[in-house]
Formats: sequence, C-alpha cells, structure tokens
Amino acid sequence: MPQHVPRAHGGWIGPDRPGPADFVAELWRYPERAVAHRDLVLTWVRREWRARFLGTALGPLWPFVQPLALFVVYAFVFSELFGLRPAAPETSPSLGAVWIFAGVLAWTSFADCAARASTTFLESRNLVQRASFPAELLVLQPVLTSFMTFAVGAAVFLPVAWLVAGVTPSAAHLALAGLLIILHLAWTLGLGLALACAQVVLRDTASLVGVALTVWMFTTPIFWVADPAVLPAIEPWLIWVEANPMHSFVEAWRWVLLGEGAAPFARASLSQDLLRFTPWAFGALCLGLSAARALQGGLSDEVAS
Amino acid sequence: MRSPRYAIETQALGKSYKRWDGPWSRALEALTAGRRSGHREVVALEDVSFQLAHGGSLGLVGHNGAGKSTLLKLLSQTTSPSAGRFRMSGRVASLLELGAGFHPGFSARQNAFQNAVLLGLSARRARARVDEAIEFAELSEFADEPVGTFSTGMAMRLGFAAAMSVEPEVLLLDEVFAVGDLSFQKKCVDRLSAFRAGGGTLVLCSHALYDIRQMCDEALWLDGGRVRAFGDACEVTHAYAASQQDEEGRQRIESGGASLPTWPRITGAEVVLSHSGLPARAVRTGEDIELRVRWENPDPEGHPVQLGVGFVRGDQTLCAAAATHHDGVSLSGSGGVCTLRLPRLSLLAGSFLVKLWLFDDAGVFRYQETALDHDLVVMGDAREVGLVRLEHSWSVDSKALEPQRTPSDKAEAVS
Repeated sequence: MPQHVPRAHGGWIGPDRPGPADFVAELWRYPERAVAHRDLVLTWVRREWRARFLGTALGPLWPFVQPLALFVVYAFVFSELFGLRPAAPETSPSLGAVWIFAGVLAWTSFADCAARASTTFLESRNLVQRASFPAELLVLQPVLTSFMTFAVGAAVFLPVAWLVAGVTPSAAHLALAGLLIILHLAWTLGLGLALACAQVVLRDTASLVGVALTVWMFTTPIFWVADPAVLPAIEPWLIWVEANPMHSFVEAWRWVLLGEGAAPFARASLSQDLLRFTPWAFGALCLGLSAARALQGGLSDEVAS
Repeated sequence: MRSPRYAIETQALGKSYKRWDGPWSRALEALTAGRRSGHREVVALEDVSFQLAHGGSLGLVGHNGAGKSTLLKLLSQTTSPSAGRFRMSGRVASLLELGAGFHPGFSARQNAFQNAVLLGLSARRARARVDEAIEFAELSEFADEPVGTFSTGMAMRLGFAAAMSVEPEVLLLDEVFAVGDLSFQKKCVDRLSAFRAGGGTLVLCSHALYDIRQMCDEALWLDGGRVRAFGDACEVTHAYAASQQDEEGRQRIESGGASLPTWPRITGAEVVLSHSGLPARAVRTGEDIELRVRWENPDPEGHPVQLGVGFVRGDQTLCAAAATHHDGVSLSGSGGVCTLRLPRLSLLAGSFLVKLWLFDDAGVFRYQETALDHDLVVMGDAREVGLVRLEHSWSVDSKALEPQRTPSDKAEAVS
C-alpha cells in the first residue's frame, strides 16, 4: 500500500530539515514516489487530458491545430513580410515550412508546460492544504500532458510532412529518440518544479514566465536559422544563440521528426545536440528537485498566505 | 503494521507559522536559503505530548485559535511540525474541513475516487469504494454532476462518505462531523459508532462538549497552543466548561459589568420531585417531577430569551421536547428560575440526557446549548416496554365476531 509517510525515521515524523544527503537522494526518491503513486498521477493526467480535449469538435487534432495557427502567423510575418528564408535559396520552400513547423511543435510543448507548471501548487492549493500526499508530484501533470499533446501533434505532423515535403524520420535518428524523450521530460520536469516553487515564494513568477517565454521564443532559432550565411546579422550574437539550451532541444526534435530533411538547416548532428542538451536537462532536474525538496515541509503553509 | 504501542504518540510537538512583511522579504529569504530571514514566527502549538492507544478516542477542546485545528493538521500530515515529533500507525483519514480537497469542476464520482487514491488506495480498490461512498452520501442521482453545483449540505455529505469509504484505522475529524439533515446526521453517528466499535482510533475536535463526552474516552484541552489538561473526557470537558464560565464572569467584572458579554446564559438546573421538593437524579415513571432552570439575562430588552428542554436517549434520539415559545410563555426580567412541570412522567425506563437551550425570541438563534450535569435516570415498571407510556385505555368486545366491512369497502359501496 503506497502510503505517503514523509521523512519517517522509525515512524517518527518531526520538523522537516533536509540535509545535503536528502537533496541528493531526491534524484531517485522522486521517481520512486512517482511510481508508488502512479494511480494518483494517472488520475490527474487523465483528468487534465479530458478537460483539454474532451467535448471539443476537433478533439485530438487540437495539439496539431494550436501550433499550426502559431506557425501560419509567424511564417507569414517572417517569410512573406520580412522575406526571411530559413536556408539557402536552393532548398525547397515546403521543406523550410515543415522545418519551421517541427520547431514550433517542440517549442509549444515546452512553453505550454512551463506556463502551466508555474501555477501548479497555487492552483491546487485546496488539495495541498487539506490532503496528505506528495504535492511535488503535481508538477507531473503539466509535464506529462504537455508531452502527450506533443506526441499527438507529432503523430499528426509526420504524415503531413511526408505529403508536403516528402520527408520521413530515419532509423538512425529514431534510435536516439528514446534518449531525447528522457531528456525532454527531465528538462520540463526540472524547470516546471523550479518555477512552481518560485511561484509559491514570489507570486510574480508566473507573469515573469509569460514574458520570458515570448522573449525566449524569438531568440531561439525557430522561425530563422542561426547561420551567418543566410542571416548575416546573427554573427555577433552567435555565441549566445549556441548557448541557448532550447536551441539544442528544438534542433534535436527536428532531427527526430524530419530525419535527413533537417540536414540542410542543421548546425550539428543529433548526437551533438543531445550532448549539449544533456547537462542542461540534468541541471534543471537537480535545480527543480532541490527547490521542491527545500519547500516540501512548508508547502502547505506557504500556499496559504 | 500495528507494531507501535500507540495509535498516536506525540512528543513536545510544536508548530509555528512564518509571517512575512511583504513579497520581497519572502523572496529574499528563499533566495539566500534562510540566511537573511525576514519573517516573524507565530506560535500556534507548543510542547504538546500525549499518547492515544489503538481503538482510543480523543476529543480536542479549547477556544478558537487554541491550536486544535493546527494539531489535527499536523496529525493528518498536511503540514509539518516545527518542533518535536509524532508517530501514528495505521491508515489515517482526515476530514479537516468538509468537502476538503474537492475539485468543483469534477463530478462527485471523480472527487470521491481521487480522495480514495490520495489516501493511498490503488485505483482498483478506489473504484470499488466510490459507489459505496456515493450511495452512503445519498447522491446516486448526482454522481456524475460537478461538485461545484452541489449545495453545501451535499458536498459535506460527500466529504464524510468519501473519508469513511477508505476504511481508515485512524480518523481525524474537525468540528462538524455529523452533517446534513437529521436522518443523515444519525447515519453519520451510527457510522462513527461502528468505526469505534470496530477498533478504530478517533480524534475529534468540537465545540460541542456533549459530542466529545459521547464520542470520546479522553480529551485534550488546548489553551493558547499549550496543553491545559489531558485525561478523562468528562473531567476535562467539565473543567473546560467551568473555566469558560469563570472566564465570562471575569470578563464581566473587568468590563465594569457593563458592555462586553451581555449574553444570556443558564447558570444552573436541577430535577426535583414535586411532592417533596427534593432534588433527584433518578425518578420513576408516573411520578410528578419538575425541572428548574436558573438563568441570567443581563440585557432582557436587547436579547429576550426563550428556554427549550429536550430529553435525549443514548442513541441520540430526541424523545420529547418542550419550549417556552411554543407554549406562549416568556422568560422576562434579568434572571430567575424557570420551572417546567412534568406531571405523571410518561418516559419509560432509561437514561436520558436533559438538553437545555437558550434561544432568542424567535427560537432560531441559540445563545447557549447545554445539558443537565447528570443524566436523568428513569426507573419504570419493568413490564412496560418502549420509550414513553402513551395515555391509554382498553376496551374489549368479545361478541363482535361477524366480519366487518373495512372503511375502504364502504367507500367503494358509496361510489
């Protein structure tokens, strides 16, 4: 019977004063708790999934339609009005379009998760204050639902990409997709936990996240390519663009979704992107788990005021 | 997992809450990991130690803000202690505020399910429990309606049913435990009695001292976050009630006997035998008795009062009641003795709690709800059974043998 008995030493429950070892242990205790309370987590995810898509006419097409709207607007602004092309003129415009779209799909999944995760604890205040359960698992709800939304969006996208631009994922890249999924989840969970905790301590966080996500979206090569040959003005900023973890994140998903179709735009191979992204994902996870662990004992008091 | 000796054991348990001056001081403290602290500590609970055996029941009494709810929150692990420690054994369910943790947008069924899963049941077992809970709450028709559309009473019923459905071994209840209309309250009381009889451990917080005496063996009196008394439920609740009356008296004297507590109250009550005028704890069915209630009303103009008396059997059945406003009598003046005469007492053998209410003029607001300090024991004729002796007479007509037409036959014949 998975019952939540936090910080129990010989059954005794005392003040929550975690030491360094407790923070480190969180790396495996968090997944352990998630598995022990899988029924609870699945209930939340199912509930959120239903709330989002059930009863809508388009149903499971929505994960595709939302990025599509974003794509149409920005593709029009960047390509038509500004005359920006994502790659050298010889690459086909339709390939450029699916390349942009793959990026939008990956980005929206992340942005959606970050925005929703930051308000998790406060929105579930009722539950956190009145029921005894590992509240830090609540963040899994936006993390998993946004990933599922992304997966459904990608499933709709793949045949479209094949029809429009004739691109298909390649076996070599799909082999690394498992690793990318793990990094994706670690990154969104870590950041989500950190933001959810920050929001509890400083209520301005959620608004800041909204602003930061907009800035981040435009500074990440989603609608443009970080290639001085195509976009000369990017030259002095290149070092920052390279350092952006979301750059590697978006690029990696493009490799997986488009296969060799991503090659004309890519700055590096998939494995290089994964290598660059790994420390970010792991770092975010450590930050998020530590923040959650530090707040754990006082969470129900903190959300109250 | 019943290895520890006690169901609940606390050692010097304490809780203080942090209060910040503003968002910046709070954020600063978080960022510096507490090295720059900008909060003030507000102590809610201090140095609370007690043990409660398996199957025991503990009532928490004390003024508002004495720490009762904080103690329940700590025990239910929705907040963590800042000092001391405690341990519990067995599955713990709590009903801190009724309808706790319900999501207004989701149905009764979904909420009951989540509640069960939160308390540690597997999805399969939770699903099995949900229907039972919905049925107990008498909400079968509304099982798939969102809880947000429910009346408070319905949500409370669901809350109680959901908490009980997980078959807890330790139950923590705050304030209102018997909810809804009278018949549902009775169901709640029965369910709790069954829970107690089945060896469950109960912690109950209530302002109704009578409930504590009925439901609990032991009581813990909290005062300003500290333990004032711990022991037998009757003794502790009486000590608490006495101190409350002292408190009122002291306040009245301190405030110059004028402004503050100008509430009417009952200062004493006794049952006497009409023929001798002597007080009695036990009376016989058919005897003439009187109930004399002394009351005080510092402000008879501002707060006219009415007196209600009820006889309650051990199983919570209100057997009979009388009230001055029903009988066109009123308690005028600033105090005195109100006598209820009960000629030829018709209650049959049993032990009855004599409840006393001091109502407002309309009989709606209760200034005070108290009870006679001892149960009224009625000794009846051993051959008579039932609750009351109805005034009755018999007649026998042994010659009427022909089958008689029933009234409905007659009615048909007419039409």
